Amino acid sequence: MVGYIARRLLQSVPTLLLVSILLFVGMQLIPGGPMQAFAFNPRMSLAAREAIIHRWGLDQPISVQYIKWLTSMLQGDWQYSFFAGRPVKELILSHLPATALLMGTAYIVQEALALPAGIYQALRRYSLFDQVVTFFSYVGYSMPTFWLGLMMLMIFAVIFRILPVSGVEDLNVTGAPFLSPDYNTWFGQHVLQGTLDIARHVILPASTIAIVGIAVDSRFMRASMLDVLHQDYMRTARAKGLPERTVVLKHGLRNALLPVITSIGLQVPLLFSGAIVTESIFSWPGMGQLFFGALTDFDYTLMMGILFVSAVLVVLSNVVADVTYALIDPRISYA
Amino acid sequence: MREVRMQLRLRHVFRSLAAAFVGALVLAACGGGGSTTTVTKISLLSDYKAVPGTKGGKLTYSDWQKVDNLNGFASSSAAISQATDVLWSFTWTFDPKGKAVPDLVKEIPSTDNGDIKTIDATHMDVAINLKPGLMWSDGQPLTADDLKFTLDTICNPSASSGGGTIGYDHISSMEVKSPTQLLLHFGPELTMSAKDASGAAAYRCGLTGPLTSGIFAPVVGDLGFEPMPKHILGNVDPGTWTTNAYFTQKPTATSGPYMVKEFSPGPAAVVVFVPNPHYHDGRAGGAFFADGPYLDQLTYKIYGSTQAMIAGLSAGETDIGLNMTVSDVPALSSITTRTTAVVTGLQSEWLTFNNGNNTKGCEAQKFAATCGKTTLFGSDRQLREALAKSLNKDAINTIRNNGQGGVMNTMFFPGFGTTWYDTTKEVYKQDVAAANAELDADGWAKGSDGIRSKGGKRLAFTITTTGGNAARVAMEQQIISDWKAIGAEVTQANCSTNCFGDFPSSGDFATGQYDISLFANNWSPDPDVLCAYMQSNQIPSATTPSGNNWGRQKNANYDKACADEEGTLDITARVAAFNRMQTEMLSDWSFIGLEVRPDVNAYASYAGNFAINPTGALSVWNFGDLFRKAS
Repeated sequence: MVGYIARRLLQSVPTLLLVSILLFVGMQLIPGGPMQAFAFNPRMSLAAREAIIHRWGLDQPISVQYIKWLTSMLQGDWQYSFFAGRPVKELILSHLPATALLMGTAYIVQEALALPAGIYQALRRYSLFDQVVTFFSYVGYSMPTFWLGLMMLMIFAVIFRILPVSGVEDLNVTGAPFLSPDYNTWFGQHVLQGTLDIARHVILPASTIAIVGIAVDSRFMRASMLDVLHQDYMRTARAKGLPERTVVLKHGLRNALLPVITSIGLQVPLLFSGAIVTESIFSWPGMGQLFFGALTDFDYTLMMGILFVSAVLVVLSNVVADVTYALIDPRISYA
Repeated sequence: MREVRMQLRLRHVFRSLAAAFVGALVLAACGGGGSTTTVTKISLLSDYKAVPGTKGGKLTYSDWQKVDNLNGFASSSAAISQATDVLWSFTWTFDPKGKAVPDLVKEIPSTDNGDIKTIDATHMDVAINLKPGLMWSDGQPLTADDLKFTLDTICNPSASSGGGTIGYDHISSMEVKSPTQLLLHFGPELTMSAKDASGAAAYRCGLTGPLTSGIFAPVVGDLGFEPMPKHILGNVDPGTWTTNAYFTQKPTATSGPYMVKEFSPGPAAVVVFVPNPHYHDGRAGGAFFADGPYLDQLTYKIYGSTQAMIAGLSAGETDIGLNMTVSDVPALSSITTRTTAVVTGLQSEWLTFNNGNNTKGCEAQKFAATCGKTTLFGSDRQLREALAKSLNKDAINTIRNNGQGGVMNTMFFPGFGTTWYDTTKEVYKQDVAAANAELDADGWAKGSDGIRSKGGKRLAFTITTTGGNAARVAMEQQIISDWKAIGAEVTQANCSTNCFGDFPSSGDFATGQYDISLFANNWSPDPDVLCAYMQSNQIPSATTPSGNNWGRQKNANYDKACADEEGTLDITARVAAFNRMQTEMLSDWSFIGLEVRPDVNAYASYAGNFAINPTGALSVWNFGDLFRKAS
């Protein structure tokens, strides 16, 4: 097993290198290149521009720039954001917790509801429950996230005022932004109040993300389960006189989960990259907004940092999915 | 989105020039410049009086554009300045009427109070006198050394001052006369003492050539800056200020009413301010900003979108919402707990004819004047006039502003104030018949398809603006329809990303890759700022890539009018020069002013002393006086 994991990890190295080259070259090909970040500062002198170009090494051949960039990334120096002036790593790390909180909550809620619903739908095919869940799945899937988010905002935050409009915390109570030193001090003294405050804030954005996710994953689980339920080995299990619960959960679910795991594995990078639209609607200080801001301003170093880490996570989550696959499916050999 | 950002950034860039209006008038009104012309004394010093407030409480104000840093020195973003202007006080600022308000200084420099002295025809001295006893928030004294240090840094080519170097480049030397007085000597003498980015000798403060005179009429405006603390930054390389924690995390010594308690950057930024304990030092008993700060906590909260901010206003999460547009008014009007204010300021939108070549396809030969295709406009004044007269600007104002803005005939508009704006000049009136007659007389004959031709050339051209903006596209469609009615075939050729991109050297507008451009700006009250768009020495080229004359105007009348108004402190002479400029615009028609766009803000009634400032200064200008009224 260890050898299998090591082999998969090694196989991902050239993939990552190729991805990093494509990212780097792609960035250079964008009109204006890295210096487009300063496109809107008409008072910036040429001398100042030249100084920045020199400081960031942008006057060197692209191959040299790439090697320097990759080396510094591997050494943990992810350079500074053009606009924030802070280290890219620090910015990513400061926005990551909010995204992990939001996406993690949404993810847990989504899978906790979608998987059982999908299984039950398959077992009770064409029942009222199946029809109702199918109907709401289509509704959920067809609603644009920005519209759904705005509607939830209007209904629960503006009209009924039972949930907050934005952010992770009530600034009038905490007196400091999420995870700032003063906030951490305050939270340490008000753990229950702080936890409830966060919970109130996460409900709307997490629900917005989860509703769409539930619609997708429940359909996926239902289809996969239906496929498995008619396999010969299921019939054999029943013929052997195994209890229905064992047939479904041990023989059926284990096999039906295989394609679902792939789907879920591919969603793991979202825990890092966040949801741009939802974070924007709810002013959630996470990675999605950070990336969108970097994109609109062409904050080159920050974009490179976020994209590269996302690429690493996509590759790693695929490795994890493959390993999980191998653990669940006895037909897959570790050799 | 990008177009809006451009406007807002330029708003800040030109903010400092707002003082030109006041400065020139004060100077001239006080008889400066050695002029023999008799002028009426006009006081444009502020009569602003803050309502006495009550201490305590919290208020939250908001924008919807990201705040990445707190770099008040380098930033040209309005959203960032709305935080930094609370942290650092200006030497002087401007009230909503555009009148000067002394902040750190004892008085606004003028010849009347002796702070401005004309030495001879090309030299002048300006004394900046600080209030005695001013302190930074960390308890260190704020002195003339800090002023000199800041001006030196503004002129340092590696420092990237967000406010630019206009005006500072006329200062030949500075003397710290006392802890409260900095004396500036203005003159044309240039030394090669400054260094450029490569370390080579350069003319001072970004100049690329010699000056003929040190006299600079809008000088008072350009010196309205925010001093930086020498005791904190004196040993920091200005080239690294943008990554210094003082600007990116928490400024440890500030001069404004509040200081940072916590700052979280980004598109959902939060800045929590607490009172500056030393704000009172040196200010007590003064006429302005003498009693604040009042609030226990002031919070600046950034929302992800205007819709989210409006929801925040509606839910009572934020008390003041800034930087909205008329399209937000219907949503705002349903909020009963907030007052919506629609204030016409100095933001306008206009068309620029490319009088040179459309250099599309010449990207590799950047600024090659001979490359590309000669446009129809450069040598055809009658065509420009006909196109101007045929436009339905009222419809454009309706499309853009729901009819709540104004229309313009030239680049001058009433927002410049009656001092500069000649009300006797022809105002806008759509006249399609006159436009058709003009084209007929000019030899543009209509063909069977209704499109005109002249000398084998079809009256067909493109219009370019920032793509992806629905309102802009709708405006373009109106313009295209108006021009089609007089026989012009116009197609949209909007930029995807590069209208202003990689400014100044390769944006589509700067490099002339268009026939007619449509974009907006937020101006200062002093029309001197127009000179950057029309002087022939501002045509972008390999040597002056940052020139703003994107229309490639080469008009001696504009050049002379600009030289005349910039080189004198005589208000009458300046007014006369601007009037000539306005007359020339109505004859030359190289620009077509379209509409004046209002600012929209919303605020709670309990936000005491909140005063929207549409002049170019931001609405946080008096946050030292902001207080929370008892409910």
